[in-house]
Amino acid sequence: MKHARWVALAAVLVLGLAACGDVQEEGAEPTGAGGGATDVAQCGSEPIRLAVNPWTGAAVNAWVAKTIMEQEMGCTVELVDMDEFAQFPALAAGDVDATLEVWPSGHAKDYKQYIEGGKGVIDGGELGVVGNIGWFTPTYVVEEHPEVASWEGLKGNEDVFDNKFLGADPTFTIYDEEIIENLGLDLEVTYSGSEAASLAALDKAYEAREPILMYFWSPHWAQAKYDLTEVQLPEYDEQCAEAAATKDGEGYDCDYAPDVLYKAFSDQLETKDPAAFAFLSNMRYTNEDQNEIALAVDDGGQSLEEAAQAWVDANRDVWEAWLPKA
Amino acid sequence: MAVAERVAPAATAPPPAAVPERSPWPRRFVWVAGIAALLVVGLRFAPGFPDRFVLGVGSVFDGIDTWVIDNQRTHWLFTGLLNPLKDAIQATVDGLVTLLSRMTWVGLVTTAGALAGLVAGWRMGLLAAAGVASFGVLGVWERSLQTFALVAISVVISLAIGVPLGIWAGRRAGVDRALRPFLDAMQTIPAYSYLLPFVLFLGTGYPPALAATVVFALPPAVRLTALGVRSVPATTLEVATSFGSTSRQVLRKVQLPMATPSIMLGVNQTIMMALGMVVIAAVVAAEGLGREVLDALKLLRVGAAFNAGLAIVIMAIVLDRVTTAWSCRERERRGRATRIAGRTVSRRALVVAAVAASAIGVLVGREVIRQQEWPESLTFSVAAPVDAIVEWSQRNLGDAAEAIGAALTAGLLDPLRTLLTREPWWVIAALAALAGWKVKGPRLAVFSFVCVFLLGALGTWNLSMHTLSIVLVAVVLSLVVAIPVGILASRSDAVDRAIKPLLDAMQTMPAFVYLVPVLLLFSIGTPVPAVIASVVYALPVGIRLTNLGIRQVPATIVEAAEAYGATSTQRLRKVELPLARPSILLGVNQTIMMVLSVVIIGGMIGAGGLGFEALVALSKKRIGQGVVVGLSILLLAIVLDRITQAMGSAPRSLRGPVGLSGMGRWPKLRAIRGSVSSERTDGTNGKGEA
Repeated sequence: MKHARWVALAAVLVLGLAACGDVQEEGAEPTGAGGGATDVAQCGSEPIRLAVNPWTGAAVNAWVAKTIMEQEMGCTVELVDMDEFAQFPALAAGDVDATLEVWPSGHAKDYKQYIEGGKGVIDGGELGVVGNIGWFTPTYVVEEHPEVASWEGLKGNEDVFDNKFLGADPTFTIYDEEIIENLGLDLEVTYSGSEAASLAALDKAYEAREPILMYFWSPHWAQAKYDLTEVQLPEYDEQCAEAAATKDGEGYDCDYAPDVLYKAFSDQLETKDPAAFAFLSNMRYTNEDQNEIALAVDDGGQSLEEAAQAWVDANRDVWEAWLPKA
Repeated sequence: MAVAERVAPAATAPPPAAVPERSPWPRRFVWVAGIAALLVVGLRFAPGFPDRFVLGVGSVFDGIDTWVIDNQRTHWLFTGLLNPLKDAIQATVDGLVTLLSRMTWVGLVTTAGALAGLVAGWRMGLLAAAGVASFGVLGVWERSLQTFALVAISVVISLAIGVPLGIWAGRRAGVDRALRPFLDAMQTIPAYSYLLPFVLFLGTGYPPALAATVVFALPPAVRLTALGVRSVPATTLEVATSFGSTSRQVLRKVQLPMATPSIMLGVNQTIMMALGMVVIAAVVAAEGLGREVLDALKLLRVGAAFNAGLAIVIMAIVLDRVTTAWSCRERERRGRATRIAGRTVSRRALVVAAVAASAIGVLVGREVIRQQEWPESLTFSVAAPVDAIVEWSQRNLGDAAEAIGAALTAGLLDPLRTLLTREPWWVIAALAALAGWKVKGPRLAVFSFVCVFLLGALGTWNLSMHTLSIVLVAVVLSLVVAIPVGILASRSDAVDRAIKPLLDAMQTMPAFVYLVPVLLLFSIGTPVPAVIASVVYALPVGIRLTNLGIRQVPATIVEAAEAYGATSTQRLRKVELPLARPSILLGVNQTIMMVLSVVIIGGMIGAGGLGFEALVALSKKRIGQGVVVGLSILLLAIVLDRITQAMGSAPRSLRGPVGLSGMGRWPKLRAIRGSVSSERTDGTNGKGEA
């Protein structure tokens, strides 16, 4: 075809025009201006890539880290959205440098394979936030039926919930059927299938102010949007730990174990950027800190960037200790 | 019309008393009684599939992940091959995204308009420009560029592999037969089954996303190229050979030019399939619109998910219309000059004008407006209105939906599932074999029986029966709605036109987007939401093929019926529906395939069955389990597909390309058929309703 030449020429022309570099937009600040104190170790030139799992808490951690690292240590931090299942392979392959909120209950196999096995991933220490899985019900239900706030009161009054318990994604850590059986409760478990489906069920029940008893957890943005009460189950003990670890849950009859969230890094991070490695290793804050930012985002309608910046501005005493010395 | 004589009993309701000897009732009664007896007898035996026949297929694959984890730093497969490949893919997609964004939004809108205008006419130019602008308006500018770049590169790679393969398959029947099962598998096995190996071997981001997209988008390129090459009449080939053409000359001068329309349709289908993988791409951390959809769903922001989904729909519609119009024009033009405002304009002048327009656009964008990204002030997200609609329906339709859901569960889903899981495996296998025998013959009967047996041997019997029960209910519901609407659309051009954009949107909107709103309405923890979602997705194909089938009935036959005094209802029942049967049955076949694909995704919203098992395998990183589930879905799909295909007994040319494809735009079939036979036969030309 004759016009092929023209088209090629045209393409070259247009692309040539476009390839000259980014447009300097008016008012755009030059990036990478580290305004930090001089005694703080500075990052290298390579960007640090943080994995962000699709829930607010994970994004909050990443934005806090990014904000401080860029402003105090002159780093370039890129955030990479990814689903949970992909993050350990990504760390091992060096596609990302760190992930900041791993729920141990969901990643026992990964911990063993990648971290204990020494396959490219290292334990980055605790994040400081503690996850809590449990049985939740909207507070309006407890106000009307105060007895269901604990398992002893729930026993015999299961009809408040129509004898139904909404289980979550069966890939999560779950012992609901065992707990129900071993505590002698008269509840039937249905599985929603995913977090989104559980949330939809909660939203629907809340909207209609109907009773619902479900597997849920904190920290979670929905804890701020919906007023939920946790049903007290027997305290977590040795016997349950054993049932969970060795007997596939058989005999499990207590509350879920607290999930001490941890960070995981690629084993190349330390050599790639010692300053970033030190900072991320030191990073540690509380449920309250994370919740404050998450609330501003989920309920207050702020962007993650604004909310993280506001927290960073107001809590220098918390994060100053994370900064590595030069 | 051979079809007319073979009208099956099923298509004609109780016939008039004048012809009692043709009454289908006694024979049908025998069938029904026989099947019922079989089911009753079956209940006396042990249900399901015996464990001793279960093969441990999955465990063969379970060592792969450990091997990859142990060797990915040292083995040559990674250091020498996969890692460089991975980096190259990442760099190419990133590079294209950077290039597109540096063209600035003004530059991109004008370039899209000018290019589409050049190849497909000024109307398409306007459509393309408006489409690109809408990405900005919806506030998903950058995400759209990323998705477009990934889709574009995936399509180029798919075509680079698919077209040569297709040519090969078109020229050698053996190659064609050897490829078919692989193509079927690529389109049927859900991506969830192979995402994990892709992540292990290719890491995260664009590379595994691209690989998954190519797997899904390659088959139509191969099938339609092969079909085009194959359907060049033998006489034409003989003429070419007798004039002394070499094999290569025959290919280049005869087969390829004559196959061009079919290949262009292949390009179009490849693009559509690639867009169907956008959300899956996001699951493996590729940037783009899919990310927006997934994130929004996790946060229960239906409106935001819809907003991003709408951008995907627009991208699909623009690319579809432009490539279709392009291929039609290429065919028509052939040496004719374009006329604008009564004056003849040379091709060269048009090219120059288009290039100049895009160059000016880019220049203006970079130097005058100085903005790369779409300005925030010009955005309008549809999220808020959509959220309002969802909230309204939740409040006002919730009870009705809940009641429908409960009725569906108690009346259809539960009984059917109980029956299917309660029967021993050989009853189900025998039923499949009977169906195979009745529609085709002993070979299909044996084939179906073996497939059902293998389903059990894979160890997923109960899960498969669970999935099958949902699929059957959803298919019946889809057809109950689709066929009447299709008839209505065939009777009224206004209805046809009015529902067309809606059908397009239903087919291209990723199912993920409406999974959650459906959840908000229907009973959670049951398969009902998945049934509803799959009906939404599968309706268009049923409606379209019914509509198409009736519209294709030759006008002369309809006139003859009217001349004999047939009423409108008689005309429909005695003439149009029987003649439209092959098309409608193709619709049934496609409905089943599409329903199956959504029921699998439905695993994540409580539908259970095979789809759920695939998700568990992914999140718990069990490769073997993923493989087993993938194969089970493939077997289920193949049995359903082969039986319904034989039922329709469409001409082979129709079966090839449309066989097992998940998502498609079947009205274009008319174009395929047109290219094969229209020049010779009836009045339906190849252009269809495009």
